[in-house]
Amino acid sequence: MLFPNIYDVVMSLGRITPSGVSLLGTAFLLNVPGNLVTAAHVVNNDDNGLVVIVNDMKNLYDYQDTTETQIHYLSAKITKINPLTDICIIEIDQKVASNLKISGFDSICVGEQITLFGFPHADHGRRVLTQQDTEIGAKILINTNGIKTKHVVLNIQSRPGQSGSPIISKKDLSLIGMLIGSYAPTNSSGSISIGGIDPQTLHQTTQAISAEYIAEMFI
Amino acid sequence: MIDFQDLFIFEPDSWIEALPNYQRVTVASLYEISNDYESVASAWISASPSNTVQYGAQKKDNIFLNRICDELELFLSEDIKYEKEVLELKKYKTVVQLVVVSAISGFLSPYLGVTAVFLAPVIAILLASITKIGVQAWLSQRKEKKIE
Repeated sequence: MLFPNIYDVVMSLGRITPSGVSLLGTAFLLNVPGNLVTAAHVVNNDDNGLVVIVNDMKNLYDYQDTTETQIHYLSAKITKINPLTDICIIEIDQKVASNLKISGFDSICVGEQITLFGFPHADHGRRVLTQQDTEIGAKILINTNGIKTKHVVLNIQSRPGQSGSPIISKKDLSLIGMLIGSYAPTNSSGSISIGGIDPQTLHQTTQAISAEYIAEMFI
Repeated sequence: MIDFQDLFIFEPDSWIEALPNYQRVTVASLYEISNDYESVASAWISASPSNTVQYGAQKKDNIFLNRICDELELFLSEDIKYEKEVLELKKYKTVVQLVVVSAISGFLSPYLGVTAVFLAPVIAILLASITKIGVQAWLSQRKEKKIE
């Protein structure tokens, strides 16, 4: 399935620092003008110097120049945030919107095909809008400080920078969720890092939260 | 013109009711679990899904509840650091709780390195907590804790 214009919807987030713009993760336009959504942990609850980086490409399926260092960005402000669902709404001063219809995980089945778009390896400064196709591996409830919320397991490996990626159902092209990270046991005897990678994250158990919690923030 | 004492004549829960719906529901759910305002505030600022490594590209900094309490204490003590902001709040003719929560969150957020919209539920929870015991008692408690 092709999404040639998705570059107008899915963008990377950055923060202006004295040494330039540091990449933070992925965000995408909602069907509310000027509003994007990302994972709350991506912005670290702080919108000082927060920017949305505009994609320069004309088609997702063209070559993306990884040597390009010039970027265009728009200032962004956090307007809604819920750390318990890990969802953050940010606003830019442009009345642009996507046509993504927000649904959730209630109506999807395990095994259903999905597509996601994000910026893997943004922690290394890499800004490549990447499409991944996979299926729902499981529907799960995750506990956050005593509150259980609806998530899914996606049968694919993901990397830092992909938090905030939209999960799109191939069945009806609706927005069903947003990537927040991957499974990693916290009750083991501490994690180690080899070359900046935690071996406990080298698996295909990516986790995403239901988009219904995004819709709830606009009620 | 309002006085700080005027802020604490309401029902404690009314501070939570002043929050936007999505935050109010979450705070109320957290309160049902612990029945303790301080635990709710701590859960809000330290929320993290269990057994999950998050894929933001930058390391997450944690803010501590005590730091927020320190700043709120300075504000409610009318410390010189918040002289202008205290005057600004006192200019209001009546207490509208949503406005008070937003204003105090906005005043404190630059010193705490977090956005006001993230801070607002914590301020509402702390104001609810202070309402229960009274502002002077809360300020005295804070001073006593520091001496200990």
